[in-house]
Amino acid sequence: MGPTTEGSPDGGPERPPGGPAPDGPADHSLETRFTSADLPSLRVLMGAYAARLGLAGRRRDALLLSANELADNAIRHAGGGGRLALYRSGPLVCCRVSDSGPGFDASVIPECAPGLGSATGWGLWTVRQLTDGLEIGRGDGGRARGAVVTCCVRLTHPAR
Amino acid sequence: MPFQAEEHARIVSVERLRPGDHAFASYVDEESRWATIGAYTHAGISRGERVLLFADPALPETTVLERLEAYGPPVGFSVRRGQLKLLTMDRMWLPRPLSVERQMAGLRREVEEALDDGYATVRSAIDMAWVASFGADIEQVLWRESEGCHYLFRDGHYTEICTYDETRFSDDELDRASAGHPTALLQRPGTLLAAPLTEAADDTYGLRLIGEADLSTRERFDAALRRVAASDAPRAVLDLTELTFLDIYCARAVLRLAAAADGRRVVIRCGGIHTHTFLLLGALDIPQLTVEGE
Repeated sequence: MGPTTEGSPDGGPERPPGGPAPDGPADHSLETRFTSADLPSLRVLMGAYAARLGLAGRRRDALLLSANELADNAIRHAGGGGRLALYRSGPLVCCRVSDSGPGFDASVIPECAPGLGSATGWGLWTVRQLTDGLEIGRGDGGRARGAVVTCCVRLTHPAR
Repeated sequence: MPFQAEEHARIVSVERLRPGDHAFASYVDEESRWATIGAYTHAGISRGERVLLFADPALPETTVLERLEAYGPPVGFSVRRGQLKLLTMDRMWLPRPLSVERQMAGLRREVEEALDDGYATVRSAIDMAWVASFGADIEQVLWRESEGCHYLFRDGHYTEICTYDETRFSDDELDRASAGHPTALLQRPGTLLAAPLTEAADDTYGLRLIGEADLSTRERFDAALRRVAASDAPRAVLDLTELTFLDIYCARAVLRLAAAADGRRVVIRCGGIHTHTFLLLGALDIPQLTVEGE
């Protein structure tokens, strides 16, 4: 289940005179390191890139909330930080967070909503509900190989 | 009394600014300076507005562009097509001498030119470093801020933020500048403020949260919830409509507070993705909770 409301209360992006920016794909992809000190400014940065990639309103908010959750997980469980990439893949806008922690697999995500009293399992369960795809993989590091977690939100008007 | 950036009657985050807003902002270091200007500029570009950036005149354009790009994608094309204009304030009055009237006329020309070029709305960010750079009279500047510019905002096409360096203006000047603006901005991303809900009825304990609730503000957020839990009013209202970010941990903490509130009503006011998040996390299963949102 992805977010269902289109557009934003503030009207979402209007096209400036002269049409959309024809900047190359490099302009549209973000790749950066982060630590706990960077979370708020990381969201500013991701918000601007997500808008440039064509996301608006509830879909942009869902991606930012999900990306924040992935980054928050890496900060708390995988050594205080990691790498984040935001990019377009066909009709999807994807956020990939990689870390060098112990790694995990998709079995940690509960099938049903955990109870309110449950201390774990909520974050990734919610990301799965908010986005159009969530993948969990292993990094290619040494013994502590790390996790690579990717979530994607579908563009409603991908032809740009 | 020292200047307190958080004491303004209407304080919002950059994201919540709307056409017609005239906002005061202050900064204490390079990071808070550029976080505000960067977020504001990129939001304007994303929304298809013309953005007029009056950065510190002492900075070369290459530095300004570099700082902006720390908060969003490259802006080169936006500059080339004229959506983002890098300006210095003296261009508003030159070749004639500085006067408030000429400065205002220059700004008005920029707004009209943007509308003629097809932009529906225009925003400007003015780093008040220009005051010292061009030797302006601070009394004239403060008069302009509080009384001399209302007409620019009247038709809802124009938004402006004026950013003041707290180390270069006196506390009195900052107080007067802040009071002269209808709106003030949170000083940096990752700020959370809690304020009593002034319109709360006698049987209600109300709290309004402004800013962002995430890992960096979690202690403050939990402390605000503890204040709600400790009150013995039969009804608690948590107004989250000015919260621009609410992470999953904090949303769950709100629901846990509501679930534990035996014998009292809890009302959450929110909108957009926050409402969606509360519903996903099980708000409907808590009988004493009402989520007022879209």
